[in-house]
Amino acid sequence: MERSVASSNEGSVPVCRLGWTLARLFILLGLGSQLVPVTGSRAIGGEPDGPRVVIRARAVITASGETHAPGMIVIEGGKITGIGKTVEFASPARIIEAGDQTVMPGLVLARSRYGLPGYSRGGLQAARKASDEVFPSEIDFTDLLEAGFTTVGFIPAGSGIPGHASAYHTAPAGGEPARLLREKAYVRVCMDNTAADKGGLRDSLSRAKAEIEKVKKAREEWEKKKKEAEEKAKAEKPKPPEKEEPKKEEPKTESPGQPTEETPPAKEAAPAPKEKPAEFVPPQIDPHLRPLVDWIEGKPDALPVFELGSASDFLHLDSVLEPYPTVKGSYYLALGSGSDYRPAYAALGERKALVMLEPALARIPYTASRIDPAADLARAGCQLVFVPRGDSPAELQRVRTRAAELVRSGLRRETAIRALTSNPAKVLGLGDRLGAIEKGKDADLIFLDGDPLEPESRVLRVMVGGEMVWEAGEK
Amino acid sequence: MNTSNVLSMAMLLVLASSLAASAEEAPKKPARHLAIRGATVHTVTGPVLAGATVLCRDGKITAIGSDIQIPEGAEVIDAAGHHLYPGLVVAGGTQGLVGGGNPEDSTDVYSLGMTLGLAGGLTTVVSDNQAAKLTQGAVGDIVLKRNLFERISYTSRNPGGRRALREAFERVREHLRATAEYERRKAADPEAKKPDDKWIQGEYERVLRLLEGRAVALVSAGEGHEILEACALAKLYGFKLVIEDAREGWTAASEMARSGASAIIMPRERVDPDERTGRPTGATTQNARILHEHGVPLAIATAGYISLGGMAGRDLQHLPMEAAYAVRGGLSDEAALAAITIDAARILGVDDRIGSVEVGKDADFAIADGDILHYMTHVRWTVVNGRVAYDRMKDTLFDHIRPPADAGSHPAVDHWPRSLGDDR
Repeated sequence: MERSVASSNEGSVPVCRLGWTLARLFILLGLGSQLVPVTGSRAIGGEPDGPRVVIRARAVITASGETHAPGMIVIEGGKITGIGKTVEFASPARIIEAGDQTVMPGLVLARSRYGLPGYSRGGLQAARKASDEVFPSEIDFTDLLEAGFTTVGFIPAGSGIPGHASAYHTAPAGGEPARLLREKAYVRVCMDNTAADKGGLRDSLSRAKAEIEKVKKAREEWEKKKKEAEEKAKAEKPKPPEKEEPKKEEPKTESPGQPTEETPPAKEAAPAPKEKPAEFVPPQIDPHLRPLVDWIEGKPDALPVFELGSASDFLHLDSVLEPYPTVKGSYYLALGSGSDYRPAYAALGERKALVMLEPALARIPYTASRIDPAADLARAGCQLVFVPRGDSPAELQRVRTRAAELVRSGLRRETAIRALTSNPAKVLGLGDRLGAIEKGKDADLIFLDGDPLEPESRVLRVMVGGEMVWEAGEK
Repeated sequence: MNTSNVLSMAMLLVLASSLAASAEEAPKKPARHLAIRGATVHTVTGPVLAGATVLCRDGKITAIGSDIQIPEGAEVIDAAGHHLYPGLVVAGGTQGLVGGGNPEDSTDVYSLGMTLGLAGGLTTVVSDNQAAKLTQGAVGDIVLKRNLFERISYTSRNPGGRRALREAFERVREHLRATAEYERRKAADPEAKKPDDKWIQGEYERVLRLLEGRAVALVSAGEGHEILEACALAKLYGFKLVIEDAREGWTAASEMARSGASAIIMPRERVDPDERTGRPTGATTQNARILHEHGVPLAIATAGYISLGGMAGRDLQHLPMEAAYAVRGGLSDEAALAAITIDAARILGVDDRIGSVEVGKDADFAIADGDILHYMTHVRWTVVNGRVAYDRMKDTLFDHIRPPADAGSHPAVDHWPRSLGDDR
């Protein structure tokens, strides 16, 4: 395989010319239709060892702190393998010329009900998953793609603790309208109506704690029983143990819905000390409490996202969580007309919280004084996650332009870029896979005709997993 | 192996117990000190102390006097030239300052209603039959007392209800007598039967609580004859009574005093006399004075809400104005102040915690830039549970209002949160 180098200042390296010649050769050979900025990437995406794709753009915004202008991205098997001003790559490679375009990571929408119906449900429903109510084939993802979103986190409908958000790619792999990325991305926990929610969360957490105690007690009894059995065996050493009763009643505890305290596994087997102690079978945990148990034990499958309506809700939430220092989560701040989160900025910043909010200016309630919650939260130390005001197509489009407006009024550019890409990916638990143009990450990219933080810039093309999945003008 | 097992078990146990301990008790935080220096301290239950220091620790008053060592790290308010009062207490029902249901869970601790209440010097209000504090910026220690009163209806407009209530009192009193009789006989007579008490539920249970002195009755009685009838009932059955909205209390003051009833009044309330009756009726500004002179414990309340429309000065932001109106009717300044502090607290049964500036009581203060009963006075700071819950110069509501001599002397406060750093 021949090594080649592509470079922006062509001609300085002799090998480079060779690369170019090769590229031109491909074009001449009629493969050009797949190389030039048209899509037609059927042959490429998906296969782990498929041919390389090389993107040459006017600018590449990595969202991890760098901008390469011009920039190159090398993609192999749907993953990014090279990024920089100049990147070495092995041929053969399909080259996408985007010399007049800016490439950045696909935008990530961390909280949406786009295209989904509403349900009214309340209370503790933590075992639910949004994926159970999402039927991708019934959703038209065009608006999301057009706005530049390559990943969307659908939230479960309802109040209280309505369940898990599920993360999807907005575009196909092999003809599917969308692809499930992470079924249990995070758990939605509403705390915007504390009169009802605070008691509910407090009660759910204490029930989860009781479940932990229950398992602990069962384990202790099992250990006690095991020890007794061992001692007994030691005493009757000459006689070899007869295994006539293999794990008699143990599996019974597994049956769901069985009252828990009355028959811990140990007691069942206690009258038969000769029996060899079976494996410890922990008692069943209420599936709706399972996520909370995991938070308390500090090994969550999905972290909570607390949805607040005011700074007061934040204090109420903290007072509920005070006895559970291991429970950590992110926040969603609903920006209503009278909502003012300023008193919570410092505390949120101190814990470097991921904070979802609309990119919009607000007012100090009952005054005409403008405040910029996003910029102030960022300065306090929070990691911002921008979400649209609603799920209408226009609002989806506006997330980026609203962010641009905030940049114009003082938000740091890098903060805005991250709030659209890598931070929402983190909220969805996909931070190691998505949200930045880095080696090893998925090649989820968008091509714009200008800077993403210029309001008039348009998304021209969308790539998911190295495959071009959408192009402007194509509906 | 065994030893290590035991060891690790022991360690686990220690860990678990320490975890449990930390879960139950609040994690040890350093003591929170607040010192207010140089104010004229109106203790209400004691003397007025000029230029005194009030020291608080973790929400309680720990020292009052002129020669007090302020601990290091204490938050210090320099209140020279200001007047420090106990936080004002509204004994009448209110809405919109704390949350409904359980205020510990439902209160918006940054709400405009709460802020305006604090700006009026209020620190404790009644909501949903609970005494609750205006703990701006803190969600703990909101509720002071639950189930303040048993509200009973005893009005001539509902004769059936009146009869039912009297019958309930009669029946429960009979039951109490029978129970006492049984207790007396029990030792001597093994066959004595305990009176059945399964029927004591609902209304009967409420009446029982009143008869046993475990609860205080609250009766809304504006007219003189209603007040007299409620007092007669209280005297007959011997329960504690608070009469709310006692606008014609002055016509029945001696009867109220004899039956031990307390009164919650709104001195500005106006009612024309009813010329058809042959007795004194109607409202008078002297109501408060007359009740006080007869020895009726008195709380002054005002309309139970914050109003930002209509005529200003008639809502919870202006409780001292309501009390000042009683002074206009002849009540002494001291009694008027007591009626919005310690006497209101007594009527609510929370005077062990609030209502005066005394060592051991809650650190709830209204610190004003003048006599709190004067119409020119503004509350400068309000302290609740030892925390500054309101600071006029740091809030957007009234910071622009300055005395004429002071105008322009210092710039308006910038409310932008610039203190968080300049990482732009």
